[in-house]
Amino acid sequence: MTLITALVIAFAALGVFFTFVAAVGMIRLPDIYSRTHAATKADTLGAGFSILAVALYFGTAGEILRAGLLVVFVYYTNPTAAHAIARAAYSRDIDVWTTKDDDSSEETA
Amino acid sequence: MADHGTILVPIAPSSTLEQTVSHAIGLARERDGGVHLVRTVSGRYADEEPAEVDKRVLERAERRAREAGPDDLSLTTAFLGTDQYMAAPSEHIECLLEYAAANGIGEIVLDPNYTIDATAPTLQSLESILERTGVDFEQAPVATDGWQPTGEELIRAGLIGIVAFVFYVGLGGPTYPFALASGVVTAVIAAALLRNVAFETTPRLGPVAGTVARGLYFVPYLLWEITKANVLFAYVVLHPSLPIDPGLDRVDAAVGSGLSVTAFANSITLTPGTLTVDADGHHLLVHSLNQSAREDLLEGVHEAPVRYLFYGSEGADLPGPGERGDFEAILGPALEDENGGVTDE
Repeated sequence: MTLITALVIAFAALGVFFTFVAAVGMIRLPDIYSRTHAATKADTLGAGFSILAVALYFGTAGEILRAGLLVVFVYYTNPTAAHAIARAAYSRDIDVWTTKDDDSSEETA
Repeated sequence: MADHGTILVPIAPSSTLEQTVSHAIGLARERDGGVHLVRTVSGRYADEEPAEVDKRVLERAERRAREAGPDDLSLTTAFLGTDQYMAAPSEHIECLLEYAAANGIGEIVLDPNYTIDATAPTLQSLESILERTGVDFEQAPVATDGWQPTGEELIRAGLIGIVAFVFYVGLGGPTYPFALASGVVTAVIAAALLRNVAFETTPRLGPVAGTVARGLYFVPYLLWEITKANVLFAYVVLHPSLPIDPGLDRVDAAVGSGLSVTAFANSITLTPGTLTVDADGHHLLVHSLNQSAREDLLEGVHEAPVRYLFYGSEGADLPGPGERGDFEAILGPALEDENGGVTDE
Protein backbone atom coordinates (compact mmCIF):
# COMPACT_ATOMS: atom_id res chain seq x y z
CA MET A 1 0.00 0.00 0.00
CA THR A 2 1.50 3.29 -1.08
CA LEU A 3 1.34 6.49 0.90
CA ILE A 4 -1.14 7.93 -1.60
CA THR A 5 -3.50 4.98 -1.18
CA ALA A 6 -3.31 5.32 2.58
CA LEU A 7 -4.12 9.04 2.35
CA VAL A 8 -7.02 8.38 -0.05
CA ILE A 9 -8.45 5.84 2.41
CA ALA A 10 -7.94 8.20 5.35
CA PHE A 11 -9.62 11.16 3.63
CA ALA A 12 -12.48 9.01 2.33
CA ALA A 13 -13.00 7.67 5.85
CA LEU A 14 -13.03 11.19 7.30
CA GLY A 15 -15.52 12.22 4.60
CA VAL A 16 -17.78 9.31 5.53
CA PHE A 17 -17.40 10.10 9.25
CA PHE A 18 -18.45 13.77 8.97
CA THR A 19 -21.32 12.92 6.60
CA PHE A 20 -22.42 10.32 9.15
CA VAL A 21 -22.26 12.95 11.91
CA ALA A 22 -24.46 15.17 9.75
CA ALA A 23 -27.01 12.37 9.40
CA VAL A 24 -26.99 11.64 13.15
CA GLY A 25 -27.36 15.35 13.91
CA MET A 26 -30.29 15.55 11.52
CA ILE A 27 -32.12 12.89 13.55
CA ARG A 28 -31.08 13.87 17.08
CA LEU A 29 -31.23 17.67 17.07
CA PRO A 30 -34.50 19.22 18.26
CA ASP A 31 -35.59 21.94 15.80
CA ILE A 32 -35.24 23.17 12.24
CA TYR A 33 -32.49 25.68 13.10
CA SER A 34 -30.20 23.22 14.84
CA ARG A 35 -30.92 20.61 12.16
CA THR A 36 -29.88 23.12 9.54
CA HIS A 37 -26.51 23.26 11.30
CA ALA A 38 -26.18 19.51 10.83
CA ALA A 39 -27.59 19.28 7.33
CA THR A 40 -25.46 21.95 5.74
CA LYS A 41 -22.20 22.06 7.63
CA ALA A 42 -20.83 18.80 8.90
CA ASP A 43 -21.75 17.92 5.37
CA THR A 44 -19.50 20.65 3.99
CA LEU A 45 -16.45 19.16 5.66
CA GLY A 46 -17.55 15.64 4.70
CA ALA A 47 -17.81 16.68 1.06
CA GLY A 48 -14.47 18.49 1.33
CA PHE A 49 -12.65 15.39 2.57
CA SER A 50 -14.34 13.17 -0.04
CA ILE A 51 -13.35 15.53 -2.85
CA LEU A 52 -9.80 15.65 -1.46
CA ALA A 53 -9.69 11.84 -1.61
CA VAL A 54 -10.91 11.93 -5.23
CA ALA A 55 -8.30 14.55 -6.18
CA LEU A 56 -5.50 12.45 -4.64
CA TYR A 57 -6.77 9.25 -6.24
CA PHE A 58 -6.73 10.64 -9.76
CA GLY A 59 -3.77 12.89 -9.10
CA THR A 60 -3.64 14.60 -12.51
CA ALA A 61 -3.53 18.41 -12.72
CA GLY A 62 -6.87 18.56 -14.55
CA GLU A 63 -8.69 16.47 -11.97
CA ILE A 64 -7.16 18.39 -9.06
CA LEU A 65 -8.26 21.69 -10.62
CA ARG A 66 -11.79 20.36 -11.13
CA ALA A 67 -11.94 18.97 -7.62
CA GLY A 68 -10.76 22.34 -6.30
CA LEU A 69 -13.52 24.12 -8.20
CA LEU A 70 -16.05 21.65 -6.79
CA VAL A 71 -14.90 22.46 -3.26
CA VAL A 72 -15.28 26.17 -4.01
CA PHE A 73 -18.82 25.52 -5.24
CA VAL A 74 -19.77 23.49 -2.18
CA TYR A 75 -18.31 26.11 0.17
CA TYR A 76 -20.26 28.88 -1.59
CA THR A 77 -23.59 27.14 -1.97
CA ASN A 78 -23.88 25.40 1.41
CA PRO A 79 -24.00 28.55 3.56
CA THR A 80 -26.41 30.07 1.05
CA ALA A 81 -28.74 27.07 1.34
CA ALA A 82 -28.43 27.05 5.15
CA HIS A 83 -29.26 30.74 5.25
CA ALA A 84 -32.26 30.28 2.94
CA ILE A 85 -33.70 27.47 5.07
CA ALA A 86 -33.17 29.28 8.38
CA ARG A 87 -34.50 32.56 7.03
CA ALA A 88 -37.62 30.89 5.63
CA ALA A 89 -38.22 29.22 8.99
CA TYR A 90 -37.67 32.46 10.89
CA SER A 91 -39.96 34.49 8.66
CA ARG A 92 -42.73 31.94 9.28
CA ASP A 93 -42.24 32.47 13.03
CA ILE A 94 -41.09 28.94 13.75
CA ASP A 95 -39.94 28.93 17.36
CA VAL A 96 -36.32 28.41 18.30
CA TRP A 97 -35.79 25.49 20.62
CA THR A 98 -33.98 26.44 23.81
CA THR A 99 -33.08 24.41 26.89
CA LYS A 100 -36.26 25.81 28.51
CA ASP A 101 -38.26 23.68 26.08
CA ASP A 102 -36.35 20.60 27.18
CA ASP A 103 -39.11 18.12 27.88
CA SER A 104 -38.88 14.55 26.67
CA SER A 105 -42.67 14.21 26.58
CA GLU A 106 -42.98 17.26 24.31
CA GLU A 107 -45.82 16.89 21.85
CA THR A 108 -45.54 18.02 18.27
CA ALA A 109 -48.45 19.88 16.77
CA MET B 1 -39.71 73.79 12.58
CA ALA B 2 -39.03 72.48 9.11
CA ASP B 3 -37.74 75.04 6.71
CA HIS B 4 -39.32 74.03 3.45
CA GLY B 5 -36.93 76.04 1.38
CA THR B 6 -33.92 73.96 2.35
CA ILE B 7 -32.84 71.38 -0.18
CA LEU B 8 -30.73 68.26 0.32
CA VAL B 9 -28.66 66.91 -2.55
CA PRO B 10 -27.00 63.51 -2.07
CA ILE B 11 -23.74 63.47 -3.99
CA ALA B 12 -22.23 60.62 -5.97
CA PRO B 13 -19.72 60.72 -8.80
CA SER B 14 -21.85 60.90 -11.93
CA SER B 15 -21.76 62.71 -15.24
CA THR B 16 -24.86 64.72 -14.33
CA LEU B 17 -23.65 65.84 -10.90
CA GLU B 18 -23.00 69.46 -11.99
CA GLN B 19 -26.40 69.81 -13.68
CA THR B 20 -28.15 68.43 -10.62
CA VAL B 21 -26.36 70.86 -8.30
CA SER B 22 -27.24 73.77 -10.58
CA HIS B 23 -30.87 72.71 -10.60
CA ALA B 24 -30.94 72.49 -6.82
CA ILE B 25 -29.35 75.95 -6.54
CA GLY B 26 -32.04 77.33 -8.86
CA LEU B 27 -34.78 75.86 -6.69
CA ALA B 28 -33.16 77.21 -3.54
CA ARG B 29 -33.01 80.72 -4.99
CA GLU B 30 -36.71 80.61 -5.87
CA ARG B 31 -37.56 79.56 -2.33
CA ASP B 32 -34.94 81.65 -0.65
CA GLY B 33 -33.53 78.62 1.15
CA GLY B 34 -30.21 76.91 1.63
CA VAL B 35 -28.63 73.89 0.02
CA HIS B 36 -27.01 70.92 1.74
CA LEU B 37 -24.63 68.79 -0.31
CA VAL B 38 -23.99 65.48 1.43
CA ARG B 39 -22.13 62.31 0.63
CA THR B 40 -22.81 59.09 2.53
CA VAL B 41 -19.69 57.05 3.26
CA SER B 42 -19.61 53.98 5.43
CA GLY B 43 -16.97 54.16 8.16
CA ARG B 44 -14.31 51.55 8.82
CA TYR B 45 -13.01 52.95 12.07
CA ALA B 46 -14.91 55.38 14.20
CA ASP B 47 -12.37 58.20 13.82
CA GLU B 48 -11.43 57.75 10.19
CA GLU B 49 -11.23 60.52 7.61
CA PRO B 50 -13.26 60.01 4.43
CA ALA B 51 -11.25 58.67 1.48
CA GLU B 52 -9.64 61.09 -0.99
CA VAL B 53 -11.95 60.02 -3.77
CA ASP B 54 -14.99 60.89 -1.64
CA LYS B 55 -13.52 64.26 -0.67
CA ARG B 56 -12.86 65.06 -4.33
CA VAL B 57 -16.43 64.37 -5.43
CA LEU B 58 -17.87 66.53 -2.66
CA GLU B 59 -15.42 69.34 -3.55
CA ARG B 60 -16.51 69.03 -7.17
CA ALA B 61 -20.13 69.55 -6.16
CA GLU B 62 -19.27 72.43 -3.85
CA ARG B 63 -17.26 74.21 -6.55
CA ARG B 64 -20.21 73.98 -8.89
CA ALA B 65 -22.59 75.29 -6.26
CA ARG B 66 -20.34 78.32 -5.58
CA GLU B 67 -20.19 79.09 -9.30
CA ALA B 68 -23.92 78.75 -9.86
CA GLY B 69 -25.19 80.26 -6.62
CA PRO B 70 -25.36 83.84 -5.35
CA ASP B 71 -22.64 85.06 -2.99
CA ASP B 72 -24.90 84.89 0.03
CA LEU B 73 -26.00 81.33 -0.68
CA SER B 74 -26.36 79.26 2.46
CA LEU B 75 -24.37 76.18 1.51
CA THR B 76 -23.54 73.24 3.77
CA THR B 77 -21.47 70.22 2.83
CA ALA B 78 -21.19 67.12 4.96
CA PHE B 79 -20.07 63.52 5.05
CA LEU B 80 -22.63 61.23 6.61
CA GLY B 81 -22.19 57.79 8.05
CA THR B 82 -18.44 57.91 8.63
CA ASP B 83 -19.07 56.98 12.27
CA GLN B 84 -21.23 53.96 11.50
CA TYR B 85 -21.29 50.85 9.36
CA MET B 86 -23.63 50.87 6.41
CA ALA B 87 -23.79 47.78 4.26
CA ALA B 88 -26.99 48.13 2.26
CA PRO B 89 -28.33 51.00 0.12
CA SER B 90 -31.32 51.18 2.47
CA GLU B 91 -28.94 52.02 5.33
CA HIS B 92 -27.47 54.89 3.30
CA ILE B 93 -30.99 56.15 2.63
CA GLU B 94 -31.86 55.92 6.32
CA CYS B 95 -28.77 57.95 7.10
CA LEU B 96 -29.84 60.61 4.56
CA LEU B 97 -33.35 60.77 5.98
CA GLU B 98 -32.08 61.13 9.55
CA TYR B 99 -29.90 64.02 8.45
CA ALA B 100 -32.83 65.57 6.59
CA ALA B 101 -35.06 65.35 9.66
CA ALA B 102 -32.37 66.72 11.98
CA ASN B 103 -31.70 69.72 9.75
CA GLY B 104 -35.28 70.60 8.87
CA ILE B 105 -34.88 69.83 5.21
CA GLY B 106 -37.99 70.19 3.09
CA GLU B 107 -37.01 68.42 -0.07
CA ILE B 108 -34.44 66.07 -1.55
CA VAL B 109 -33.22 66.68 -5.09
CA LEU B 110 -31.93 63.48 -6.61
CA ASP B 111 -29.49 63.15 -9.46
CA PRO B 112 -31.09 60.62 -11.85
CA ASN B 113 -27.68 58.96 -12.09
CA TYR B 114 -27.09 58.96 -8.32
CA THR B 115 -26.12 55.51 -7.12
CA ILE B 116 -24.83 54.25 -3.81
CA ASP B 117 -23.15 51.24 -5.32
CA ALA B 118 -22.93 49.60 -8.70
CA THR B 119 -25.88 47.31 -8.08
CA ALA B 120 -28.39 50.10 -7.62
CA PRO B 121 -29.62 50.49 -11.22
CA THR B 122 -30.37 46.78 -11.54
CA LEU B 123 -31.19 45.52 -8.06
CA GLN B 124 -32.37 48.38 -5.89
CA SER B 125 -33.73 51.56 -7.31
CA LEU B 126 -33.27 54.43 -4.89
CA GLU B 127 -36.41 56.11 -6.13
CA SER B 128 -38.48 53.14 -5.02
CA ILE B 129 -36.83 53.10 -1.57
CA LEU B 130 -37.43 56.84 -1.18
CA GLU B 131 -41.01 56.58 -2.39
CA ARG B 132 -41.76 54.03 0.31
CA THR B 133 -40.50 56.41 2.99
CA GLY B 134 -42.99 59.07 1.88
CA VAL B 135 -40.38 61.85 1.93
CA ASP B 136 -40.58 64.72 -0.54
CA PHE B 137 -38.10 64.28 -3.34
CA GLU B 138 -37.72 65.15 -6.97
CA GLN B 139 -35.37 64.11 -9.69
CA ALA B 140 -33.34 66.87 -11.26
CA PRO B 141 -34.39 67.35 -14.90
CA VAL B 142 -31.01 66.75 -16.49
CA ALA B 143 -30.33 65.91 -20.10
CA THR B 144 -29.67 62.24 -20.61
CA ASP B 145 -28.64 60.97 -24.00
CA GLY B 146 -30.28 57.58 -23.79
CA TRP B 147 -28.69 54.50 -22.34
CA GLN B 148 -24.96 54.24 -22.73
CA PRO B 149 -22.68 51.89 -20.87
CA THR B 150 -20.26 53.82 -18.70
CA GLY B 151 -16.56 53.00 -18.65
CA GLU B 152 -17.00 51.48 -15.20
CA GLU B 153 -19.75 49.18 -16.44
CA LEU B 154 -17.52 48.01 -19.28
CA ILE B 155 -14.67 47.22 -16.86
CA ARG B 156 -17.03 45.21 -14.64
CA ALA B 157 -18.57 43.39 -17.61
CA GLY B 158 -15.11 42.56 -19.00
CA LEU B 159 -13.96 41.12 -15.68
CA ILE B 160 -17.10 38.99 -15.31
CA GLY B 161 -16.73 37.73 -18.89
CA ILE B 162 -13.08 36.75 -18.36
CA VAL B 163 -13.79 34.99 -15.05
CA ALA B 164 -16.79 33.15 -16.51
CA PHE B 165 -14.81 31.98 -19.55
CA VAL B 166 -11.77 30.85 -17.55
CA PHE B 167 -14.08 28.98 -15.17
CA TYR B 168 -15.82 27.28 -18.11
CA VAL B 169 -12.53 26.21 -19.69
CA GLY B 170 -11.15 25.08 -16.33
CA LEU B 171 -14.18 22.98 -15.44
CA GLY B 172 -15.04 21.55 -18.84
CA GLY B 173 -11.70 21.65 -20.62
CA PRO B 174 -13.19 22.05 -24.10
CA THR B 175 -10.72 21.87 -26.96
CA TYR B 176 -12.76 21.97 -30.15
CA PRO B 177 -13.81 25.28 -31.75
CA PHE B 178 -17.57 24.91 -31.30
CA ALA B 179 -17.28 24.44 -27.53
CA LEU B 180 -14.89 27.38 -27.24
CA ALA B 181 -17.16 29.61 -29.34
CA SER B 182 -20.26 28.74 -27.32
CA GLY B 183 -18.24 29.42 -24.18
CA VAL B 184 -17.40 32.89 -25.44
CA VAL B 185 -21.07 33.57 -26.26
CA THR B 186 -22.17 32.40 -22.81
CA ALA B 187 -19.50 34.52 -21.11
CA VAL B 188 -20.63 37.61 -23.04
CA ILE B 189 -24.28 37.02 -22.03
CA ALA B 190 -23.28 36.51 -18.38
CA ALA B 191 -21.18 39.68 -18.48
CA ALA B 192 -24.00 41.74 -19.99
CA LEU B 193 -26.58 40.53 -17.49
CA LEU B 194 -24.44 40.63 -14.36
CA ARG B 195 -22.35 43.79 -14.89
CA ASN B 196 -24.41 45.64 -12.26
CA VAL B 197 -25.01 42.67 -10.01
CA ALA B 198 -21.75 40.84 -9.42
CA PHE B 199 -19.71 43.81 -8.19
CA GLU B 200 -20.77 46.51 -5.77
CA THR B 201 -18.03 48.82 -6.90
CA THR B 202 -15.73 48.67 -9.86
CA PRO B 203 -12.71 46.69 -8.63
CA ARG B 204 -9.49 48.70 -8.34
CA LEU B 205 -6.20 46.93 -8.83
CA GLY B 206 -4.58 48.03 -5.54
CA PRO B 207 -7.32 47.07 -3.05
CA VAL B 208 -8.17 43.89 -4.98
CA ALA B 209 -4.53 42.76 -5.00
CA GLY B 210 -4.36 43.42 -1.24
CA THR B 211 -7.54 41.46 -0.58
CA VAL B 212 -6.39 38.55 -2.74
CA ALA B 213 -2.99 38.48 -1.00
CA ARG B 214 -4.65 38.51 2.44
CA GLY B 215 -7.08 35.86 1.14
CA LEU B 216 -4.12 33.46 0.79
CA TYR B 217 -3.85 33.68 4.56
CA PHE B 218 -7.60 33.96 5.25
CA VAL B 219 -8.74 30.85 3.34
CA PRO B 220 -6.46 28.29 5.07
CA TYR B 221 -7.31 29.96 8.40
CA LEU B 222 -11.03 29.63 7.67
CA LEU B 223 -10.62 25.99 6.57
CA TRP B 224 -8.75 25.24 9.79
CA GLU B 225 -11.46 26.93 11.89
CA ILE B 226 -14.14 24.95 10.02
CA THR B 227 -12.31 21.68 10.65
CA LYS B 228 -11.78 22.45 14.34
CA ALA B 229 -15.41 23.47 14.84
CA ASN B 230 -16.62 20.37 13.00
CA VAL B 231 -14.75 18.12 15.42
CA LEU B 232 -16.52 19.90 18.31
CA PHE B 233 -19.82 19.59 16.46
CA ALA B 234 -19.25 15.85 15.98
CA TYR B 235 -18.55 15.54 19.71
CA VAL B 236 -21.79 17.36 20.61
CA VAL B 237 -23.94 15.38 18.17
CA LEU B 238 -22.52 11.98 19.10
CA HIS B 239 -22.50 12.62 22.86
CA PRO B 240 -25.22 10.51 24.51
CA SER B 241 -26.77 13.45 26.38
CA LEU B 242 -26.66 15.81 23.37
CA PRO B 243 -25.19 18.84 25.25
CA ILE B 244 -26.71 21.69 23.23
CA ASP B 245 -27.86 25.04 24.55
CA PRO B 246 -29.12 27.11 21.62
CA GLY B 247 -29.35 30.89 21.59
CA LEU B 248 -30.35 33.58 19.14
CA ASP B 249 -28.52 36.90 18.96
CA ARG B 250 -28.57 40.02 16.88
CA VAL B 251 -25.01 40.94 15.98
CA ASP B 252 -23.97 44.17 14.25
CA ALA B 253 -21.11 43.47 11.90
CA ALA B 254 -18.38 46.09 11.92
CA VAL B 255 -17.99 46.07 8.15
CA GLY B 256 -19.31 48.55 5.64
CA SER B 257 -20.21 46.89 2.35
CA GLY B 258 -22.52 44.20 1.07
CA LEU B 259 -19.61 41.96 0.06
CA SER B 260 -17.91 42.07 3.45
CA VAL B 261 -21.20 41.46 5.28
CA THR B 262 -21.76 38.45 3.00
CA ALA B 263 -18.27 37.14 3.76
CA PHE B 264 -18.92 37.62 7.50
CA ALA B 265 -22.35 35.95 7.38
CA ASN B 266 -21.02 33.04 5.33
CA SER B 267 -18.05 32.42 7.58
CA ILE B 268 -20.46 32.39 10.54
CA THR B 269 -22.63 29.85 8.73
CA LEU B 270 -19.71 27.72 7.50
CA THR B 271 -18.42 27.35 11.03
CA PRO B 272 -20.54 24.70 12.73
CA GLY B 273 -22.25 25.91 15.86
CA THR B 274 -23.31 29.24 14.41
CA LEU B 275 -25.82 29.94 11.66
CA THR B 276 -26.83 33.26 10.12
CA VAL B 277 -30.62 33.29 10.11
CA ASP B 278 -31.36 36.73 8.72
CA ALA B 279 -29.50 39.81 7.54
CA ASP B 280 -30.72 43.38 7.39
CA GLY B 281 -27.95 45.69 6.29
CA HIS B 282 -25.12 45.04 8.70
CA HIS B 283 -27.44 43.63 11.40
CA LEU B 284 -27.27 39.86 11.43
CA LEU B 285 -29.45 37.40 13.30
CA VAL B 286 -27.33 34.46 14.40
CA HIS B 287 -28.46 31.13 15.85
CA SER B 288 -25.84 29.36 17.93
CA LEU B 289 -25.99 25.76 18.96
CA ASN B 290 -24.09 26.03 22.22
CA GLN B 291 -22.47 28.56 24.51
CA SER B 292 -18.91 28.13 23.30
CA ALA B 293 -19.98 28.85 19.70
CA ARG B 294 -21.85 31.90 20.96
CA GLU B 295 -18.87 33.18 22.93
CA ASP B 296 -16.62 32.75 19.89
CA LEU B 297 -19.06 34.82 17.86
CA LEU B 298 -19.18 37.63 20.42
CA GLU B 299 -15.41 37.61 20.83
CA GLY B 300 -15.06 38.33 17.13
CA VAL B 301 -13.57 35.00 16.07
CA HIS B 302 -15.44 35.34 12.76
CA GLU B 303 -15.35 39.09 12.48
CA ALA B 304 -11.65 39.81 12.95
CA PRO B 305 -10.51 37.68 9.97
CA VAL B 306 -13.12 39.29 7.71
CA ARG B 307 -11.98 42.75 8.80
CA TYR B 308 -8.39 41.66 8.17
CA LEU B 309 -9.39 40.43 4.70
CA PHE B 310 -11.04 43.70 3.66
CA TYR B 311 -9.31 46.37 5.74
CA GLY B 312 -5.80 45.03 6.36
CA SER B 313 -4.05 44.09 9.56
CA GLU B 314 -5.01 47.18 11.61
CA GLY B 315 -8.65 46.37 10.84
CA ALA B 316 -8.40 43.17 12.84
CA ASP B 317 -7.59 45.01 16.08
CA LEU B 318 -11.18 45.97 16.82
CA PRO B 319 -12.67 44.29 19.90
CA GLY B 320 -15.37 41.71 19.19
CA PRO B 321 -19.10 42.53 18.97
CA GLY B 322 -19.59 41.37 22.57
CA GLU B 323 -17.10 43.83 24.01
CA ARG B 324 -18.31 46.65 21.75
CA GLY B 325 -21.89 46.02 22.82
CA ASP B 326 -22.92 45.54 19.19
CA PHE B 327 -25.19 42.64 19.96
CA GLU B 328 -28.46 41.84 21.62
CA ALA B 329 -29.40 38.46 23.05
CA ILE B 330 -32.86 37.59 21.78
CA LEU B 331 -33.32 34.06 23.01
CA GLY B 332 -31.45 31.48 24.97
CA PRO B 333 -29.56 31.29 28.24
CA ALA B 334 -28.29 34.45 29.88
CA LEU B 335 -24.71 35.31 29.07
CA GLU B 336 -22.12 35.01 31.79
CA ASP B 337 -21.59 38.76 32.17
CA GLU B 338 -22.70 41.97 30.54
CA ASN B 339 -19.66 41.91 28.28
CA GLY B 340 -21.07 38.89 26.54
CA GLY B 341 -19.08 36.18 28.28
CA VAL B 342 -15.66 37.33 27.19
CA THR B 343 -14.21 37.08 30.68
CA ASP B 344 -12.09 34.04 29.90
CA GLU B 345 -10.05 35.91 27.29
